[in-house]
Amino acid sequence: MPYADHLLEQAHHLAKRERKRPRQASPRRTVSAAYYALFHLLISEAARNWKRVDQRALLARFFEHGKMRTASDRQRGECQRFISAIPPPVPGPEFECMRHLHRVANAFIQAQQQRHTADYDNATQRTRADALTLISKVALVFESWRVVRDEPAAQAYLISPSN
Amino acid sequence: MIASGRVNEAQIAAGVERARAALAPDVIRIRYTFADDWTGDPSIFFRIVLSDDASRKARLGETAERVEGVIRNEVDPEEFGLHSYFNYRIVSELAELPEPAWA
Repeated sequence: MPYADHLLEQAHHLAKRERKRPRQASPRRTVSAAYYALFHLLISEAARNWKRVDQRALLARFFEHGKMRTASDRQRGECQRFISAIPPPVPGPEFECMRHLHRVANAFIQAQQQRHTADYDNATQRTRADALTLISKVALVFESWRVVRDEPAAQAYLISPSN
Repeated sequence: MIASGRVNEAQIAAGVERARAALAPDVIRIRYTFADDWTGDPSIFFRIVLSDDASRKARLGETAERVEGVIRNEVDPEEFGLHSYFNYRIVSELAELPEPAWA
């Protein structure tokens, strides 16, 4: 997933510009790059399942922001219900998987909304704190995804925007 | 537009205050606004002011996750049919560039 990694690296780079009084372009583009890092992480992981390597980039184009948001909302709800079930779930691999997937789905929804505001709403100020918080959350998602990427629930989440 | 009939503002305000108390001293204050998100769904947008110390913690993302978890538990926006979103400022950042909505 080098492209996603590079986008996250670019977000870090942009967040370091004009440390004292950042011009609006820097935190806005940071937020946008951080969201796209997450977006491309997920679609590249989904496309990785396609056997024909030369068709993966084309397949990735079928993923849409709105459908991924709906799928993430559904996934987040499913994870939340599992995590907060009564009686509480037994700690173990399944619980850990749901905890990581909750982080991924939740961060996707948050990042997408922030990206929309950053790119289209000039009336709302963006700051370094906004940008750094989002980058840090997306970096955690990259770590979580590497833990669960081969789990059946994670694979089902990847393909769920097509439902 | 927000379906205000479903939202109990007093209950939300009480939940926000409980969350702020639980999150002190990392969280200085919490403000919020009701609006639709980009998909048109009714939502609550939280504005969270972090202390400088909290913002310097090694993993800011984990701090944010903890803050958001406590707020969700105390306010329970989903009970009112609201999505919740979170934005952050740091105290020293607001001192440099004041924003009335965050005061």
